[in-house]
Amino acid sequence: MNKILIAVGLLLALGLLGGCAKEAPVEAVDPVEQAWQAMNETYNDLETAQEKTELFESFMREFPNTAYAGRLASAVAYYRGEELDDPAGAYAILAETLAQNTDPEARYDIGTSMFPLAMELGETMDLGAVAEELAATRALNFSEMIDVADLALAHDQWELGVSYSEAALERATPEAFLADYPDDDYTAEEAAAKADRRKVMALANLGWAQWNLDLAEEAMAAFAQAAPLKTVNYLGAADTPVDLYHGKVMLAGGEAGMAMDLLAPGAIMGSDDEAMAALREAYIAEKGSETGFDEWIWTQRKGLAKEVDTFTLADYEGNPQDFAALTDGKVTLLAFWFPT
Amino acid sequence: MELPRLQTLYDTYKDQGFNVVVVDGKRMTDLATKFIEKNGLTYTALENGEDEAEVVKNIFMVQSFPTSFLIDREGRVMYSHVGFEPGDEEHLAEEIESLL
Repeated sequence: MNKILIAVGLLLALGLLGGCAKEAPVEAVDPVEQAWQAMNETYNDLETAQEKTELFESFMREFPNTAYAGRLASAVAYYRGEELDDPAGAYAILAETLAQNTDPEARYDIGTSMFPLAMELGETMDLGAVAEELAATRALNFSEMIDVADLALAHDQWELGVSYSEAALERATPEAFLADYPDDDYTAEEAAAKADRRKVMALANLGWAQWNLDLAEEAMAAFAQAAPLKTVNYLGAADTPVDLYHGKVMLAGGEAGMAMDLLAPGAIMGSDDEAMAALREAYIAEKGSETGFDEWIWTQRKGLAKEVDTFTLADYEGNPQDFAALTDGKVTLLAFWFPT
Repeated sequence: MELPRLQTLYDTYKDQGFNVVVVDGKRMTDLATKFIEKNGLTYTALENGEDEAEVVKNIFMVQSFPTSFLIDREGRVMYSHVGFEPGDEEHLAEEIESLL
């Protein structure tokens, strides 16, 4: 990108130096930039997933070997792959773009978006190779490492999961956190808390991957190291997969009761489908059958439920609104969002 | 968050005592008001506060958007969701019905 800017700058400078005083120099317009801007303007008027993904795909087909093609990959995987339920179509356009793209940053973006589709369709794809290509040009940040580990774990690629979890664990320090966010102001205390959260995420993934490679002792050590650093969400469920993976390991190891304790908060109050499936299995292992499971969940839910905090915020006319008054005696959905 | 899908739920259940309250966690006021107007959303939309008045992270510890909580008539949080995928509104409708 810098090279292009320098080249454009040089052309402009040459034009001016060339004494074209009588005629205004023709502005150099990068066709990729122009198409990208036009696409963004068109996008705002589109309503359906079909229209959106077709717009992105036409850009990718026209400019497959650009950084922008990489930035569109996850949107195509989402809109075509998920919303339109056409994983084969999404895979095809991403694979075609990847084959023509030579930028390691874009290849990483395309590759990580394409990998779940490839696995779903039974295609072979080397996720580690795409990540290594990028790592050869610059150090991966923590999010990238944990993303690769998560993708690997979701598709039973345990060795890849171990190596990227270990790499992520090395970046679970306050110094590495601050280095990943050089433009933000974090206090030492905030950085330390973020580093601990990173540690829990990396150790949870590491433990699960190790367990699946029959490294049971190492796995238990990873969970034991993560447990005291664990943080929970508003409803008391772990905000990392540590209890999910620890619970699944307990279940597999025949400790169904302990598995239920670990899995219940995330399954019931974290809307974690994977935890719920494991919890159901643990319940059956503990009680001998699925009978009474739904009633048991309902009782647990009532036990875990907490009284909602109230607050006052302004509406868009500037009027303060008291949440307690809005919810009084009603069933309320409170949703946190931001416009995109 | 697919806010227009919540409008459908709101229209279906509001007469039975169901309310929807959405909070823009990033204070993107211009975009938010345009979006609300364009999509004809009629439930309560609030703007997050700043500093001490910030509620999304300080009180509700929200790590990612969209996050939502379903609260029963007694004010207890009975369900929570992170993310909103196509089809999730059917699941949400069942949960709302379980509390109405």
